[in-house]
Amino acid sequence: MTAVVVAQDELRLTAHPLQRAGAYAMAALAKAGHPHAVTSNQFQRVIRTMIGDLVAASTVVKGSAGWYLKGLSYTLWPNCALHYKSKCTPAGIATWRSAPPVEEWPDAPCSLCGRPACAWYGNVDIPMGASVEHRNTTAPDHQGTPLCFPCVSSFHALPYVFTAGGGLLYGVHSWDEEFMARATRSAVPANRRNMALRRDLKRGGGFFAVEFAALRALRWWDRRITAGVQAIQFSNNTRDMKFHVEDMGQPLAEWLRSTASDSGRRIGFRYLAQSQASAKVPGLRMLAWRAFNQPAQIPARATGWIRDQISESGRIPAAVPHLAPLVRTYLTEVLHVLEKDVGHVTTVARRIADVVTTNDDKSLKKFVVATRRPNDLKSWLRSEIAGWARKRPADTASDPFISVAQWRVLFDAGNSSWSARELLFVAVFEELCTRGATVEATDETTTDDDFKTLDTNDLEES
Amino acid sequence: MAPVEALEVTLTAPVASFRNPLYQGMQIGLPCPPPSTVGGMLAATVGTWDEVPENTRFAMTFTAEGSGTDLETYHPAAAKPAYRNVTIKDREFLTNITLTVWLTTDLGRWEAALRIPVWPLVLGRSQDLATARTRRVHLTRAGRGTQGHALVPHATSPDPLTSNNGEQMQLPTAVSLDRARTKWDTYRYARTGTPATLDADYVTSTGQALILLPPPHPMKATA
Repeated sequence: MTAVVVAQDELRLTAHPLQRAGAYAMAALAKAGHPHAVTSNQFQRVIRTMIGDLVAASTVVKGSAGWYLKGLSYTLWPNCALHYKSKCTPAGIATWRSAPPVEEWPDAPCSLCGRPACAWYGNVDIPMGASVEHRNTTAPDHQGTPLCFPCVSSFHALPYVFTAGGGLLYGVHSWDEEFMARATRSAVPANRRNMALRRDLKRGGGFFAVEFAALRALRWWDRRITAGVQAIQFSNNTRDMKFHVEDMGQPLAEWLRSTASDSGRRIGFRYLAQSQASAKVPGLRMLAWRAFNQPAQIPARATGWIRDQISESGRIPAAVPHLAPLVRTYLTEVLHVLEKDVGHVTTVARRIADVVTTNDDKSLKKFVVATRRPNDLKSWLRSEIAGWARKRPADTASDPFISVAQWRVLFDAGNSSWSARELLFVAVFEELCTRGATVEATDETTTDDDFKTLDTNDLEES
Repeated sequence: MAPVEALEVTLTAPVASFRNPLYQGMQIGLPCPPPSTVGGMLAATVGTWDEVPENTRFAMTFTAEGSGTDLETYHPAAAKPAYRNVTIKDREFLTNITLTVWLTTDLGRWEAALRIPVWPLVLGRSQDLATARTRRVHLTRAGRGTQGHALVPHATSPDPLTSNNGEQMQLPTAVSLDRARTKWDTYRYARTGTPATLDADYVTSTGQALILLPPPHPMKATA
C-alpha cells in the first residue's frame, strides 16, 4: 500500500485540458519546471498552501479585499465546504481538500490517469463534471467519477492558472508542454495577487481578455512552439455550466511569437496592430481575437488599412516598408501561399512596379483603388498591358506583362486567389520601397496602451 | 508491390452526436467519432467484443455536412430520487455524416456482420441509426496520399507545405469492458478536409491516404 500512497504524491498529465492546466499551476506553485518534476514534499507543501489560501478567504466579508477566492468558489466549486457554515472552518476545508484514509478508497482506477482512485468525485470538485449522484455518465457501480488525489488536486489548483470575472474563468491551454509551463508560471503570480487583493469578480482585463492573454504569452515565449494554443472560458455553476474553447493553429501561434523574437518584424507588428483596430476595440485586442476567430481576416485588414491610407493621401505611408513584408510572411508562413504562386505573384509585382513608378502619383492611386475588387484589378491589368509593352525594360523584351499562369493564380485558383491578390498588393509596395520610392513620414505608430505591458514584459524577458 | 485487398465500409446517418466524455455535465461534441466509438460499432455488428480479434485495426475518414446545437430533455439516472428531476441541456450534433472505414483483416467476417448486424447499426448515440454499404477494394501498400478528411495519429509526420494538417485532439482509443478505464491517444483531424499529403500505410485508388489507427479493443485499455 505504501507504493500506492507514494504514487498519490506524483502529478501526471492526462488528456483533460483543465486537469493539465491545474497540474501546471501546482508545478508553478511548487517552483518546479514541470508537473513531473514536483517532489512529494513540494506536492504536500502546495496542498497546504492551497488549503491555507482557502482558509484565509473563508472569513473574508463580501466586498472586502481578499474575497475573490471565496467568490470564485461559487463558480468553480458549487456546494463545497466554503458554502456551508458547519464546514466552512479550517478543519472542514482541510477535510474537503484531503484524501480520505486509504482503507476508505474505492476499488476503482482514476478515470483520468488509471492510478487507484482515493474517492468518488462530482462537479463539486470536477469542472464540467456530473453530480456524484448521477449515474448516466459514470461506469456501472461507480458512485461518481473516481479520481486519484493528484488529479483531483490539479482541478483544485485551477484558480491559480485561470482568472475569474463576469461569471466565467478564463485562461490559456496548449499541448506544447514547455509553452504551457511558461504560460502558467506567468499567470500564477497575477492570480495569487487577485486572491490577496481583489474584492469582487467583476470582469477585468479589458476587451477579449483571454485572447489577449494568449497573445501576450506567445510574445513572451522564446522557443519554437510545437502545438496550437487554446483560449478556454468556462463556468462550473450548477445551474448554468458553460464551456467555450477557441483554437489557434500552430503556424499562426509560431508566427505571432516571431513578431516579438524577430527584430525585423517588431516594428511591422505595431503597424499591424494599428491596422486591426475597430471603432471600440484597440488594435492588439482585435488582433488577438481575430487570431482565434478570423485568422484569414488579419492580412486583409492590414492591406485594407494601407489601401485606405494611400487612397486618402496618394502617397506611400511610413508603415508600408515595415508592414508589407510582415503581411507577406503571414501569407506564406500562416496561410501557406504556394511557393510557385509566390514566384508568379512576385514577377507580376515587378511589372506593376515598372508601371507605377514611371508615372505620377495618380498611377499608384489608380492601382491601389483597383485592388479593392478583383474585377477592377482585372480591368486595370488589361489597361496597362499596352502601356507596359512600350515602356518595358530591354531585358524583359520577350516577357508578357502578365502570363496566363500568373493570371490564373490571381483570379482562377478558387479559394487561394484572394490570398495571391493580397500578396500581389504587398509585393508591389515592397518592390517600390526597394526601388527607393518616397515614403510619407508623417504617420505615427500605434498609441495602443496594451503595448506598454507587452514591451515591459519583453524587456523583462530579455 | 501487389495491391492489398481491403473492405471499405461506408456508413451514413442523417444525425449523429459524439460526446466528449471529459465533460460529463455538458454535452460537448467531438468533430468526428473517436476510434473507440467506431470500434464499438463494429463490435455491435458481431454481437460482442469476444468476437472481435484483439488486434483489429482500421483506417477511417469522416465528413459532416452540417452541425448544430439542440435542446434536449435530459433524464438523470440518479442514486437518489431527489436528483432525478428532468432538465434541459444543450446537445451538439452533426448532420448528414459519412464515415468510411477500411479494414484489411478478417474481411469475410466483417462483410457478413455488416450485412446482417447482430445489434442495430448506430453511430454515436442509440438513436443515431446508420446505414452501411460495403465493397471490396484494392489498396496500394505504403505510399503517399492526401489526408483529406482522415483521422490520423498525431505522430504522423505533417505536410510542411500546408498549415492545415488538422486539429490536434485527444480521443479515446479503447474503453475497458467495465468502462472504468479509457485509453487516450493524440490524433489529428481536419473538419473541412486538407490537401496535406502523408506517408500512409495504404493509399486508395483515388489517392486517399489511409493510416491504421491503434486497436480499439477493450483489452487494450486494461492496465
